[in-house]
Amino acid sequence: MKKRFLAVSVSLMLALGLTGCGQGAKDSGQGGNDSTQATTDQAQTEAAGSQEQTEKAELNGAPLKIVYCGTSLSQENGDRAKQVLEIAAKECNAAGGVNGGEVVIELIDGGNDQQAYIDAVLKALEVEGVSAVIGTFYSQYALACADYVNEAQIPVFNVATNFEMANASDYYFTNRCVDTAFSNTMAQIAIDNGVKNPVTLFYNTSNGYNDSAFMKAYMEDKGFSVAEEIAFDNTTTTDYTSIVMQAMNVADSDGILLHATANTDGQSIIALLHQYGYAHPIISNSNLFSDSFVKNVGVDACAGMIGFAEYTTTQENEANKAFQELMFNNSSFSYDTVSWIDASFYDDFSLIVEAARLAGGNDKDSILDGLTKIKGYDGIMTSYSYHEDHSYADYIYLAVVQEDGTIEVSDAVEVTH
Amino acid sequence: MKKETLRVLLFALSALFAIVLLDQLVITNLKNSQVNIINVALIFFFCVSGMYLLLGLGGVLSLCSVTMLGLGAFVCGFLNTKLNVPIPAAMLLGALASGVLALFLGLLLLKLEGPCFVFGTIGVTYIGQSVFQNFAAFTGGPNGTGGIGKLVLFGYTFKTFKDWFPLLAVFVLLLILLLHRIKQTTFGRSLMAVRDDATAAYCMGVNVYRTKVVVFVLAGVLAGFGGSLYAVHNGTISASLFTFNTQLKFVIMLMLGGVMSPIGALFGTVLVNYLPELARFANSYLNLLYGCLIVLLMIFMPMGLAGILKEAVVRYRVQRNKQLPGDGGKGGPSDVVS
Amino acid sequence: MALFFQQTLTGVSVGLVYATVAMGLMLLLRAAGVMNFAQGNLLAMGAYLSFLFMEKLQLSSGLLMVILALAVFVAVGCVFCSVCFLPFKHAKWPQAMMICTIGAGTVIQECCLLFITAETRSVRPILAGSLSVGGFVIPYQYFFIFGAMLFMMTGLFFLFEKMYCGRVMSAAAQNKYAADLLGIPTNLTTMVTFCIVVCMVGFSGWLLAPVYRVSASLSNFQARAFASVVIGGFGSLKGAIIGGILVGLIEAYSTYFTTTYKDVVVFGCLLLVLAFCPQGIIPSGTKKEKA
Repeated sequence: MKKRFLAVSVSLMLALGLTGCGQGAKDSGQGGNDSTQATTDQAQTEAAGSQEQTEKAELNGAPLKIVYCGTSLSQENGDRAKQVLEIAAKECNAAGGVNGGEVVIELIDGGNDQQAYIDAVLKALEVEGVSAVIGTFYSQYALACADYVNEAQIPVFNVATNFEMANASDYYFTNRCVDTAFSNTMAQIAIDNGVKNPVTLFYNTSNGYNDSAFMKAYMEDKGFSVAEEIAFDNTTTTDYTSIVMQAMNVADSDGILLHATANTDGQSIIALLHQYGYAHPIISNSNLFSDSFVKNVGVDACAGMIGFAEYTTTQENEANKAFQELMFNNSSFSYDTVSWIDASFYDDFSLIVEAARLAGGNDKDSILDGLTKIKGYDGIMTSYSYHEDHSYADYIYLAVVQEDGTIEVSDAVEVTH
Repeated sequence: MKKETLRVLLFALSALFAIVLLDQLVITNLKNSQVNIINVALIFFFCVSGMYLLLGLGGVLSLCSVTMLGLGAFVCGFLNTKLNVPIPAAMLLGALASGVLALFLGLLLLKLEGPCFVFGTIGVTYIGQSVFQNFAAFTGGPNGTGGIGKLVLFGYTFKTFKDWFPLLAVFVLLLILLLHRIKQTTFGRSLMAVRDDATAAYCMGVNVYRTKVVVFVLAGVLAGFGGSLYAVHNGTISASLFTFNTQLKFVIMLMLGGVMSPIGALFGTVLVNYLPELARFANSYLNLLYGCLIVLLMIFMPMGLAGILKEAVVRYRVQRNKQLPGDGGKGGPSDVVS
Repeated sequence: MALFFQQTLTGVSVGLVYATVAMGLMLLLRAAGVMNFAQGNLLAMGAYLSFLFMEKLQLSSGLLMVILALAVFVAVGCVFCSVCFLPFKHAKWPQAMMICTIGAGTVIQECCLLFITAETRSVRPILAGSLSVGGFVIPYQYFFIFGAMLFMMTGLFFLFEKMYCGRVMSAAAQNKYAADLLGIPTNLTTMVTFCIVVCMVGFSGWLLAPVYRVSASLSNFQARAFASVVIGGFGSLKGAIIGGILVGLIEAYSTYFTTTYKDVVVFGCLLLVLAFCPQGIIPSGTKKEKA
């Protein structure tokens, strides 16, 4: 028995030591690392927090509590959310807080599957004094939790674009452009580029199916057609060659309307289309228009891709430049590219803070009230106003990837709701 | 025999009393989200108990319980939302559907030995995942089935999570009594014989194939009933609840608590579900900690927590026996059990 | 017709990748009797290591990278063996070993995600560009993958059929008790098998990283590898390879009529094979011993 206890405690110490070792080793490494940044970031926020408390003793009004419960914190999106939200909160508190109170960020691990997300949302909705929640990327998880959110009556910002979320709950909001609007824009881009019979290629969530249906309806409305709708499962597929070949060989098709994420699926599909020398236009959704995507897939493969973007990464835009500077100058941000995901979290944060300011209170009811009052608020991605479908984006941008890899972003296209 | 029945009755009554006590004192003071975790753990126990029957008593590892769970849930949801079948009937039909699927799969796969059978069940789980996600007419596709009605029993509507807890606790109690009873029957003993040595069992006249099929169907029905409860409890179900990773979690729940003990399995289920709560400090290291914990626990406690407890009891009894005079030469039971 | 030819070639190339993973799986199953659920994670680890050495640490010398990678794989193999196999030699429950590999797989994946990178990144291939064969385009990287596979296959063949130490390892795998009696160091041979498998899988992952990108989704290959092992036939390396190619072809042809139900087609075929010929396409000669 004694030997067993010894063995268990030695192994536990080994395990903890491994994690600590990883942190220590990367301290001297280049580029920094999530784990180190987590601890230094924590130390920083703590130090900053105590500094705030000594400097601004009058920030003792009711705090604005924002809870993040999206994906697992060890995944890329969760990690980015953590870093961006904590930097944003620090910046806001340094500038005087909101309505005399400070902004507090609480993080809950949203896990990797639906039941874990439901548990996380229930926990988030019950956090003491929660004012607003920032939720998930997956609309099907959001739909499963709609009843609980309705009961708790707390505003939830999801980083998803499915229009069905607003139908399911009056408390669901999104800062992005919903798919009813951008599907039409994508189809119009196709038509403007001479595509008359495209193939739609999308991932098999309800988002993807909806987008494909809307694009098809729009094309047929304008007198054109969609050659075939091809869905793929991006959670269980690693090799996309056979799917891409099917898409390329659909009879009489002259373009691809692509709806994928910027992870393995989008990267593989674009790389494969380039490898096989696909000559027709490829129109993509906004996920793929980011600097990191172009860097990962290669300039040759991405050149010529058209579509719409929600974040004007490469435009000479003051807000963009300031945001990128804010992120890169802050040592707790450990990534070397800034993407629309970071901008989206930052804008969600800003919208909540703005709503609190407009309504004059930091509690959930004031924020709900203030959210309906937002009009023409300039965020990082675009400008925002309240719309009936609970989405905020006013504009999206037509985008083209140039031959040198930069993404040329056009003037804004107004989002029709 | 009478003493045994008395013991069981005593156990059942004291457990009922404990449930009522727990409900009044603890559950009403817990937050809704915590009660949800406990409820879901109790529902998962239906699935894990099926695996206990298969693995602990029968020595058969089946990795498709999560598909039975999902099928029960979706059949219940489909019948209730599309065909307007009342909830109690839909739940029973859900359990029945899983039983039918288990019968079909059992007849097909149980002729195979060890690893082949396991791979077959893995295949079934992946097929189930794909069908649940894409077969929109039956399961509602990626969005799943929503708007499942509430359970109404004898005029009482189960609306909140706190309402569900006593019902689920009573069901779990009945389930544990059932599992205990199965162990005492001829069927249970044949099953354990098959686990220990199939050839010897065959020589003794046990129809190995039929025994295995029966226990597989039983496990399927239990998982299906659990699925129906899951559907009605959550109100909305979708395919991403029933993945292969969830199945692996069930296996861990069973092995952690004790593969040979139903109460241990219950404890293991609750523990694994509660782990994110307990380990919140870990933040992004939660999964890493989880993996390390599994490895360590399997190396040092392969029989799970219940096994450790049993070993401790046995060792205590041996100590006590050794202290009695005149027993110097007898070896303790721990020499035989190893 | 051209599409059919292309899909066939796609199926064969992907199938050979499945076959590599399946070979490692088969080796471990035969040598240790352990169903390794960490196989996919080990493959991903190889890819993450290639990213670490080539992009993050920017090591310039190819030889240095290979030596370091070998060192890491051997270390991981030894740790994996001592954690997931040696403690379970006398255990009552073989399932405990299986679950230990599940835990080990999670630990490996989380370590890669936390200490190397959480994003989906890409690495440069050894030789960029591709070869065009009648409308079908093969990147040059695939030739390296095929070459490595052939090397591994012939190496394993020579090791197990011709060389003494290989026969010693086979003996230890078939019947540990008898091997112990003959004085064969079974612990050592099992550890060597583990290290060989981890090296195989790790280097496959390394070579696959430019094609399939450095991300955790590489572990999806594991399910297909299980299917290959069963379809091709239990217990023989030839079976694993044929099974892998068959699974690749089935997947490629299935896209003719469905793109979302690919899993159903592949695993449905698995169930059919199990129902009608459980020994697989290439039945192996070894019978299971009841000791």
